[in-house]
Amino acid sequence: MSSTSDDLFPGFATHRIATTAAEIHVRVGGSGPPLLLLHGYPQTHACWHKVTPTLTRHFMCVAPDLRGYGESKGPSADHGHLAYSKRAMARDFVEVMQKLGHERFAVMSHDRGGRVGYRLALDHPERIDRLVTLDIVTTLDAWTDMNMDNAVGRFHWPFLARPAPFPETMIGHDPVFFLEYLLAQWTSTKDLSAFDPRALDHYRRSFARPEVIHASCEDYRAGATCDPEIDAADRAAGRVIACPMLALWGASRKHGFVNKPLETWRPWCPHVVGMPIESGHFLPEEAPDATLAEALPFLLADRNPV
Amino acid sequence: MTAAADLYSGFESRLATLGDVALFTRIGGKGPPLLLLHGYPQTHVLWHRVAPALAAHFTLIIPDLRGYGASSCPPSDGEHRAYAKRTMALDVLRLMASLGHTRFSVMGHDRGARVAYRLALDHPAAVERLVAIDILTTFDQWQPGQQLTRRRIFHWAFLAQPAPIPETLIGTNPVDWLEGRFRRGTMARSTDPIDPRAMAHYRASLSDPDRVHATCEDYRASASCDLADDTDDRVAGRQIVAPTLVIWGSQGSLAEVGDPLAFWKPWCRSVEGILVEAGHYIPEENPTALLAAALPFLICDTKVIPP
Repeated sequence: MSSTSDDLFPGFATHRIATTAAEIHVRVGGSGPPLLLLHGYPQTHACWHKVTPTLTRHFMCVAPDLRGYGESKGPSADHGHLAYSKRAMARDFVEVMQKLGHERFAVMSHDRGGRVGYRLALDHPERIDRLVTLDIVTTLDAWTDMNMDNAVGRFHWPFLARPAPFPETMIGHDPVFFLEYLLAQWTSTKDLSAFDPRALDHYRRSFARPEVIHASCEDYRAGATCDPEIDAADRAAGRVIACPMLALWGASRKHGFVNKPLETWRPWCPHVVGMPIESGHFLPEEAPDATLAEALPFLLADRNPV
Repeated sequence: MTAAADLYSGFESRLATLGDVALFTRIGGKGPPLLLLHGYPQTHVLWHRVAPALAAHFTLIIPDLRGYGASSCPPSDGEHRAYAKRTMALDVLRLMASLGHTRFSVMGHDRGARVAYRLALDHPAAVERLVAIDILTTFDQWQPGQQLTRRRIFHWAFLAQPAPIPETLIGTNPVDWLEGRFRRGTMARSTDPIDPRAMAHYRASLSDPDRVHATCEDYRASASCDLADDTDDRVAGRQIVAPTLVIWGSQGSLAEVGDPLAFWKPWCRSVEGILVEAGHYIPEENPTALLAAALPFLICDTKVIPP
């Protein structure tokens, strides 16, 4: 546990929870019904620090690092990349929440965490009562939509999915350079001004570790192989997200991850609602107030199914 | 650059100064002129396995493109025009003129094939016959909705990232990067098909930060002005007049495209296509099949009347 993380989540407890295949570092704070907060690439749970002061007034916030990211320990990579599939990551959080005493919970999730969030809702519908996704469409749809034109804005998908150790080596010589480039490139201002220096320091120290670089590449390798296959199987079977769902996305990204988001989400969740937020990709840090203005009423609304 | 093996024994070497660029060029053989244009991440050395047979029929002119090999690297510009295929086509047109060739055939691979078809579109009177190896036009490559697979899209998007991201990542690992291209692009999925002496040339070229930057600019141009130039031609209905042969590898860049000729037909008055057993690096992976495909087409004595 780092003092920097403490600074960003005052009053939060820290747990290290063993799951079937990982060890999850998690911060827990606030009171109320449980809300799981799932970060994305190339970040850690620290990305939620600007929204947790408000969220903790209404929810018991549970902010873990995804397996392999931050201070969570992931399993060794496997040939099929199943160890870093979103299905496996979703199972981590079913177990983590169970060990914290939560059988049913809401999820707010960003980027890679968003992929774990919708996977939780599809694989464990009985456990998820509300789902918020930030700046994503499904992995299957993102690949289907990818072409040479928008690939420039999404080059890291095919790049990080190249077989090991190619991207690991390329990134590993100067990981902070790569980290800061991506963070800046995906904001609306194209710089690091949206990020709190303490959070940046947290991301830098996390991403400088070779095992984090490797695990995050495995996350994207899964994202190029088993994750979209699992998505496609759900589509073929007609499985949909049962719980209420809110999709928010950044309005200011020219080559965003998200093309026609609501239209794209609707086959997965017929009752999905959502809107753009004036922000780049990092909604919880670039536009915490606007994100909360939409997410909080949704998360607090009557919990009967729509 | 460390002394690298001479893979064109008996060929003349010259550094031709042409406006803002100096092109390093090997010249050899006997017969009508044939311009050979290499691609990424290579140099003129790419043709070393087919040059001996071609030299029996043609005077071969084999330059390094601007920014590659031992040619100079003119400064880049915000519009990426300095590395547009139109600019590179003008380079090689001037090179050929400086050698007294106003009409010639051209065979290009990869980026060189993009320069070759741009030359045929911009300067139809200069091009007798065109051979394009393992590409679609940049226009077709970038068409929204074109379903390119997850494997094929990577280096275009990576190299077109704004400076200095690919420059820095490649610059710290030039050999990993270079060898990774061949491991990915060859049918053997290894560097084995590449002669170690040729690899030494490629390594030398990509070990120079100026060349790394220039070659990224080549791809930035493809994501901007090259695409715009192709689109203008497509909208205007301009076509390649020179008889065109498209050659692609069974496991090369077009392996998942379906019928590459269907893409090429709207661009060409006359086009034929041949599939050869190879990955992307056909001139080194399967020189025999390349010669069997290209030689009969190139030595065909049907003269086309210039427009």
